[in-house]
Amino acid sequence: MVKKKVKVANQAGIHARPAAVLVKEASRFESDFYIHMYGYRINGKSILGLLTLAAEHGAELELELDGPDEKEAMKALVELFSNGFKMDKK
Amino acid sequence: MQEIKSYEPNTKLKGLAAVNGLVMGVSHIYSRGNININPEPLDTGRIDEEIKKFEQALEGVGMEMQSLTDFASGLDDSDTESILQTQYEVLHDPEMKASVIALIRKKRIRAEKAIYDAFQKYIDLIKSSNKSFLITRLSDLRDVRDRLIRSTQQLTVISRFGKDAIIITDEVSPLEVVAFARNGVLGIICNSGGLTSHASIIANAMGVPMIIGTHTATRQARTGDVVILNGYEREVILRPDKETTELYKQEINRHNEEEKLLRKVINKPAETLCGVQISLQANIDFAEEILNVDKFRAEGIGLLRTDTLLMNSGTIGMDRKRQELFCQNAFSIKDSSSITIRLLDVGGDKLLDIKNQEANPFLGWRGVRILLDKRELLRSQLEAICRVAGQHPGRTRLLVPMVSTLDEFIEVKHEIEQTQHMLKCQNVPVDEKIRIGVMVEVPSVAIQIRLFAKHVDFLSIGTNDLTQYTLAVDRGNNLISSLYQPLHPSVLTLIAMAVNAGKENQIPVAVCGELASDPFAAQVLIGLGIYELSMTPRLIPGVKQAIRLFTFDEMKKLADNMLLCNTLKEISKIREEWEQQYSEKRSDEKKRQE
Repeated sequence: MVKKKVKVANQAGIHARPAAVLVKEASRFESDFYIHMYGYRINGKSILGLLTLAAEHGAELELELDGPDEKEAMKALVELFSNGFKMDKK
Repeated sequence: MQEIKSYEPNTKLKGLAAVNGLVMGVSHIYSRGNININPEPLDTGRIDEEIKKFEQALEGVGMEMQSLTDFASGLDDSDTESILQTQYEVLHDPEMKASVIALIRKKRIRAEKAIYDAFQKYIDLIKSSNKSFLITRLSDLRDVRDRLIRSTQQLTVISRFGKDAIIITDEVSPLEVVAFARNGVLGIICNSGGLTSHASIIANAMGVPMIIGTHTATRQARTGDVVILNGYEREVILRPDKETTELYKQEINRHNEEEKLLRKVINKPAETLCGVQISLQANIDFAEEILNVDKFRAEGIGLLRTDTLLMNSGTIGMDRKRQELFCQNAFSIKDSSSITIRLLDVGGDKLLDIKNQEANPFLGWRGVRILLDKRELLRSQLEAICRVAGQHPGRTRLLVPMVSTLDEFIEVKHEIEQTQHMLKCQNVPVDEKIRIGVMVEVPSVAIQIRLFAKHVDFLSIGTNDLTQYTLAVDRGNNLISSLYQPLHPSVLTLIAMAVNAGKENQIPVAVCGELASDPFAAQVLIGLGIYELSMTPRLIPGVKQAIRLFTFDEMKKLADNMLLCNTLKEISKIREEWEQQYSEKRSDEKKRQE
C-alpha cells in the first residue's frame, strides 16, 4: 500500500469534470484507490463519492493505493492533481 | 386520426414481414408510458430478478449514452462532452451499483425505488456542502438516475408478457426486441418501421416473427384478443372467428412440416444441381449467435460485426480485452474456414437507441470515417484483432466499412501493418497472411472497383447500403420503402462490375447483405458469379434448399435477364415466374423423398 498527500491545484475545485477525469484515470489501474479527507474515506473510483467531498481549491487530501500497479497509479494520479486535472491549460 | 370504436371479428391488417413466420397467440398492447415509482416491497423470490433487471438497465443506458458520446465527440463542443463524460462515470460508478443492489436485497424494494434512493443519498450530501459549483450540476446526476429508472420500468412491463404473447406496439427499439425475445414472446406487430432497420435485423437474428408498417394495429387490437401473425401473407388477423382459427391451426401444422423438411437439408452440401460449390457463411452480431454457426452448418463467418460488442463494453471502445474475447469466441466454431471481422461500423441507425442528430446521418460521420478520426479506437481494435488472428494463422479476414475513397483504405492498411509490427516487437505471434478487404457499399467504390481491386485481398458487397446509396432511398423510411430494390438493375450492374474486377485480380468477391438470404436473390447473385454468400445463420437452410434445385446455367440465365430489366414491373414478373418454378420443383422433390 502507498499513501501520499496532495492539494487541489485547480481554481474551480473538484467539480464534475475533474472528478470524471480523475475516476477515468484511476479506473485504468487495477489497484484499489481511496481518498481521505476530513476523516472521510471514499472510493476514488466512484465519481459520486468524489463529488460528496466537495473539495475546493487548496483542499488537502490523502491518496491511498493498494494493488499490483499501485506505484504507477500513484504517479499518474499525483500528476493529475499537480496539473490541475488538465483543466486550467485550456 | 380516425378513432376506431368497433372491434370487428376477423379484422385484417396489411404490413411488411420484417421476419417471416406464422404464429397465433394472445395480443398484448405495449407502450412506453410514464410509470410512477412503485414503493411496494417485493416478494423474496423476486429479488434476484430485480437485480438482474437493474444490471440490464445499466447495460441499456450504457448503449444509449455511448451513442450520445460518439455523437458529441464529433461536435467538438467541450461542454457537452464534459457533461457526457461525467454522466458516463456516474453510470459506471461501482459504489452506486453496489448500493442499489444492497438496497434491493436488504430493503426488498424494486430496482426503480432502489435507484432513486441510492442517488438521493448522494444528492443530499452534495446539496449539504452548499457549494454552488456542485449544486448546479446535480441535474446531470438526476438525468442518469431517470434514464435508469425508465429502463428498469420498460423491462418490468416487458417481463409480464408470457409465452403465448404477440406484442402489438407503435414502434420497437433494438433493446426492446432483445428483451421480448429473451422473454419468449411469439411475435411482434408494429404500427411503423422499415424492413432493414436495426430492430428488424435483430428480430431476424433472434428468430422472432415480426410484421411492421401496419399503421393502426395498436388502435384496432385490444390486449387479450386472439391474433394471427402471418408473415407469408404479410398480414395480421385480429379476433379470428372459429372457422379462421381452425384453418390457421392446420396451416401452422403444415408450416411446421415445412420447417422439418428444411431441417433435413441442413446437413447436405451447399451446391447447385450441377455440382457447383457455393460457400454459405454466417453473419454474426452477438456472442449468443455464434452457436448458430454450427447449428445451421455455416461455412465460417462471412461477417463478424463488432459494433454491438463495443457498445456493450461501455468503456467507449477502449476495452481491448473484451474485444479479444469476442473474436476469440468466434474462432470456437467447428468449421475451420475463414472468419471475416468487420471493423467498428457505428453511426447511422446501428443500435443507437437515440436519434442521431446529424442532418444526414447516413451520409455522415460513420464507419471508417470515425475510425480514422479516433485513432485510439482504431488502434485498440486492430490490436485486439491482430492478437487473436495470430493464434489462428491463415483464417482471419479484416473488413473495412464505409470506405468511399482509396485514401481511407490505404490509411487503415498502414495502421494494420504498424500494429502487426508493434506486436512482433513484443514477441506476440501475428498472422502474416491476414487478408484485408473493403466493403463495397458506397457507389464510388463500386465505380472505381478496378482500382480498389488492386489494393485489397477480397471484396465484400454490403447490399443494404449499396442499394440505399445508389437509389437514394433511406432504407428505414417506410414512405419510400417500395423504392428500396436491392435487385434494381443499377445495383446489379455495380455488383457485376465488382465480380469482374475480382476475376481480373483473382480475389474473392462476397455478398454479406441481407439480400443474400433471399432464395431468389441468392440465385441471381450466384448467376452473376458470386460464390460466397453470408447471411443470418437461421436463413441458410432456405437458401441451400433453393440452390440445390437449380443448375448454375439456370441461375446465370436468370441473372442475365435481371440485368436487362428496364422497370421495376419487369423485375417483379421475373420473380413471380421464378417463384412458380421453385414451388413446382419443391413439390417434385417432396414426392421423390416420400
